[in-house]
Amino acid sequence: MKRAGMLIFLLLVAARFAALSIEPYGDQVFDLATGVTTLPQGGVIHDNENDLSIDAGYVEYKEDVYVLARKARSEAKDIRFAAEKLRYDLPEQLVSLAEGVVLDTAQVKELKAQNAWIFIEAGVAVLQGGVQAADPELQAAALVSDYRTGEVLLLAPYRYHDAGLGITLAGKNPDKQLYLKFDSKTDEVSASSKVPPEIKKRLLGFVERVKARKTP
Amino acid sequence: MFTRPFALALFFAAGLVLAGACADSDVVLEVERPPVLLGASEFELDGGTATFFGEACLQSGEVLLRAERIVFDRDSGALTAYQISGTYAGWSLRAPLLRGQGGALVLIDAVFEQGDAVLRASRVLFEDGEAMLTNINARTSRYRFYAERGLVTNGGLRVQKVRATPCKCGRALELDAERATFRFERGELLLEKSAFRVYGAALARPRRLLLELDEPLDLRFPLRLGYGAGWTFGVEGLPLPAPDESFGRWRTRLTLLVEGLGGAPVTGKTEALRFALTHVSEGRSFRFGLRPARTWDGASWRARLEPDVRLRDGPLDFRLGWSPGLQRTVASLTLTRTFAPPPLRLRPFLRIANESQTGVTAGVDGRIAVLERRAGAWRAGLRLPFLLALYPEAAPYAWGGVRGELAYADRLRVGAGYFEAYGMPRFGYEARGVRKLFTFKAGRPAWISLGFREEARYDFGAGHLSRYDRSYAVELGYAERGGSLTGSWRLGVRRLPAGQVVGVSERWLLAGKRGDSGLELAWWRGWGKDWIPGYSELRLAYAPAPPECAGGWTLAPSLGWDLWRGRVSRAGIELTLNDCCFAWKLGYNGVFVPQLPGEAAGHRVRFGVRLR
Repeated sequence: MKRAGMLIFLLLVAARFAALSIEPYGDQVFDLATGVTTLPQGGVIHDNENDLSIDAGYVEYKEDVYVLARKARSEAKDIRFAAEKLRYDLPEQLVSLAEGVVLDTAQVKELKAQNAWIFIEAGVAVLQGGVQAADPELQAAALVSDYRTGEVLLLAPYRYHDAGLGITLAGKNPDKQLYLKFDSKTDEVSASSKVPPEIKKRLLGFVERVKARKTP
Repeated sequence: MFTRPFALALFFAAGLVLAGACADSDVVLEVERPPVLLGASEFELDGGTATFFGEACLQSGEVLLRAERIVFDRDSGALTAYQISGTYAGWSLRAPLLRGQGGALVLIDAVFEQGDAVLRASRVLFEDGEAMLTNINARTSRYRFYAERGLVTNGGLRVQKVRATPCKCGRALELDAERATFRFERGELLLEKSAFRVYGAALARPRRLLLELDEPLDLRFPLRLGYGAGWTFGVEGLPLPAPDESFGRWRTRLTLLVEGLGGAPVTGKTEALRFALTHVSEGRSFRFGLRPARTWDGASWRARLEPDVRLRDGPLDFRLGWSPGLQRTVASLTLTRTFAPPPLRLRPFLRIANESQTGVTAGVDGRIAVLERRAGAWRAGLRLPFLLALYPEAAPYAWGGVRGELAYADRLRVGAGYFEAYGMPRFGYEARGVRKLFTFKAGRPAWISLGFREEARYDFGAGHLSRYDRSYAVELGYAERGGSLTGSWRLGVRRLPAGQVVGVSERWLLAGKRGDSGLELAWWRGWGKDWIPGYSELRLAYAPAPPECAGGWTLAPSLGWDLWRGRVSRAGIELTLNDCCFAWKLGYNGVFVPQLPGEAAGHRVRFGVRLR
């Protein structure tokens, strides 16, 4: 009886968030004083509006403000990512990731970094600190990816290795980025040290925006 | 949060430890095969083609090249670079194209430069840290070389199948070798298993031969051919190369010349065979020569053997020779040494001679510089030259005087000298003839010069003064860069000590020069004893500038006109013909009406060749 009452309560709570739907794996604790809800056993959170799902071992969220998750694996349109710590700021639709960050985009697989930010609405991911990927094999100080258009900016120092061809491309000048454009149809990559100005302005704008932000 | 030092550390830990200028480029590409590093400020990958541009560079081992553009084809692994410049092993190099494929880099039509030396190679292969050149054409200030292939080393070049020529074009004169090493720092080329060819025929095959790259070659053409009262032919100064001698620096030379062979026997005609072997090394020279000769005296041949021996070694000078005046063998041994403690210069000598007289001379020759001054462009000097000779069998001979000079830059030069002699010199060695002299030259670009000189002549056999010769000269001229115009007058008067005139010669000359060509018009006049008129001749000669190109030729005509007899007195023409390597000369001179004292009618044909 008590358990049925709880389920009804949960459904009511879920219904109250039109954008987020919550599927807890266990308990769900609501703090009336702060308005923060905690899922100690974790659960799956769907942002229906942005087609974003977060599957985490621990979740806390505050309605219309944020979602905080631990050991999270997430999926959004055109991107999948995982991290030990995840924070989803709802008003900005910005996902911040820290510790064990791994991203997969259509273009770059197993993209690892110390920190990452994903601007869900814009479809842009910013990775900073020891950025490296397995396919293609690359390393960079930072990476900005518009994962919907396939445009990637590597910030120096960066390094790109193609074992098959036995070549390594590298850049050290912090003022010079490497611009990569992945063609989704042909699977080909074009690269240039000359970044089209509007793309440079837009993508580096996201890097500026995450500079002041705290990691989750 | 992103921390920059950590990112950098990670970056370097990843294995990108690059060295050198190229590695500091904004964008760097490491290629494993061929093992090169590409760098540039800008990079573009489009499809399978990676392009580096904007201060693009390429580094592979010791090779550091800059390029306008470097293109790497990802699929084939091929590397292409355009407009290359760079350095390798002390050389600067440039090439329009570089290709890299597999483990090697290949430069096409490369030019290497080091100092004056320029190497061109149709192909340069960089592999395993070495540069292998193919089809090498090298040029130094004096030579052209061709080699099939070579290896660039630090400061040098090792080549195989090399051919070197001093010719401007073609290969008429050529040195080839199986192997050769260029040592550009020392300016040397060492040839091994070489052959010296003239028009393709091997004249010598030295095992090792050293060529000095920047020194002018002393290539006196040794063959002689001419005609003038008989044929003259043979070799003169033919080098006999020794192992390890520099090419053109031969120390030993041979002369074997037949003189005056054939032709009608006229009085005074001489036929001879001249043989001489000379050896010159540092501070020492030795010549051993013999000249069996015979002269037609109008009725029979008079034969003789003329020796020609000379040994000079430091203070020692020994001569055994033939005196045409005395018609006998003369010999002398001289010991001399120079001391020069300023302001003095002393040259004591000891001599034993058998010339027109026989005996010993001990003496000293020298000068005292009383005054040597410079003030701005002014220069003044005053010297006291002297000579003292002592003879055991005769009275001493002394000569001395004063000589002064004053000059202002190249605009004014005045000189005067006065000398006196006491006693009689026994040999020509110590005889000093000059008594009075005066020179004056002023002006530029138009100038005037005046000169006077009086000299005493001795008859050593008879032991007395034979003549006083005086000469007077005046010259007016104007010169500028393109050429010059001069008019001059010269008079020579020969008198006996008593004052009687025994001979006079006079020359009026008008000469114009433009570049290397010149035209001369001269009026020669002569008088005999007591001003009895001897000759009066006009001479016109034109000397064109030497031809410059291969196939170029010039003709230099000359003509003499006897003003008294109203007919051609002499005529000459010289043809100069250039080929790639040599300038060939064929000259003719004919004397139809003898003019000067001792001159005889006759024809002379000369043949000569020299390196261009």
